[in-house]
Amino acid sequence: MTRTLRLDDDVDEALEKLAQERGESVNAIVGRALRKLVEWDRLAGSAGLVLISPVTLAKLMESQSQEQARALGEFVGDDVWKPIIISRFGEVTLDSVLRSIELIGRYMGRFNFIYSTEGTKRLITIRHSGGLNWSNFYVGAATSLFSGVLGVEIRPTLTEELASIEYEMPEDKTRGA
Amino acid sequence: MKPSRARTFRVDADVDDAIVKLAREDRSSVSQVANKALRRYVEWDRAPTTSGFVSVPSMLLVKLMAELKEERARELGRWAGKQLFLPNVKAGNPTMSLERAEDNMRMLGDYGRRFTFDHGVEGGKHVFTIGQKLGRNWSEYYAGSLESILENFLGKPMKVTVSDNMCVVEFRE
Repeated sequence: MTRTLRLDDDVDEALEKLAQERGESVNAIVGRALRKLVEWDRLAGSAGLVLISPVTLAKLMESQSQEQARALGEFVGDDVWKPIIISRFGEVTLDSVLRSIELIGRYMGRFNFIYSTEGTKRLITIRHSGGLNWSNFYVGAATSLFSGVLGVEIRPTLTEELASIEYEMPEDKTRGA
Repeated sequence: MKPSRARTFRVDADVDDAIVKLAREDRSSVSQVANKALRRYVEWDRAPTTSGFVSVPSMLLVKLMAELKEERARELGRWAGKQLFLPNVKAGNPTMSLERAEDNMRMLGDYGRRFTFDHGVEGGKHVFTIGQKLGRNWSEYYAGSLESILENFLGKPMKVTVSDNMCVVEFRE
């Protein structure tokens, strides 16, 4: 559908310039920015998410042991992501957890998310460039949500740049996943 | 009132519905809501000091920083001011100035949501203040950052005061 907006001149000019630099249309940039607003920005603000340089964040995580990194992930899964999932999707289900991981990957800028299925097996792979501590962090967060909240047993695998979580699809939880 | 112009865009129906709803909740117009979001998008995206920033829960930053000693937090802030902030301000415009650095600090505060930034002047005394709610070590971190940034421009003595939720740097003209 079409929508007419009254834009400040300087915003309109900045959009034109950005579109030229990126070789895409102003419409494409506006569409992406507005989708980010409704899918993420409001939620991020109300959930206490803040922005930081990835280099500074990496230095802070370096000071943790792998066990501490995993415990931090469990804390964030339970105290941050669970309320965010409930706020965004109404309840914590396998489906809403997966949709949230996809959103987080798209907008938080820290990892890529790959989801694959084979029969009743499900495999979530989080690809990142943060090292073993971040892999432990993601496994901790997944453990908190999948095992702690949903009661689904997971088998994690981690490397320097991957955190994979494998689980069997419960028969009574097939919706959308 | 800022000069403005009408532009028509093709927008996904679900996004349009959601923006209409946001505007209703905010008691504002769809154009005002969209304008604010687009301003944030272009300003944040184009600012060299913020490009590539990642989003994290503030509680995670509290816990990560709590593990450090105060001196290490201050040292990390000095490193970030000198090695991250200043080179990025310069990358955006080779003519460095304190005003330009301040603009970038203000933008980091406004859009990054980690701190508030203020610069006041009274009777020849300048007071830079960063307010934050993530614990004492983050005040130390910002004190170190401000020190290293201001040293680059001033080369004169500064008084630095740190509390649990604020750091203040003062100097005379």
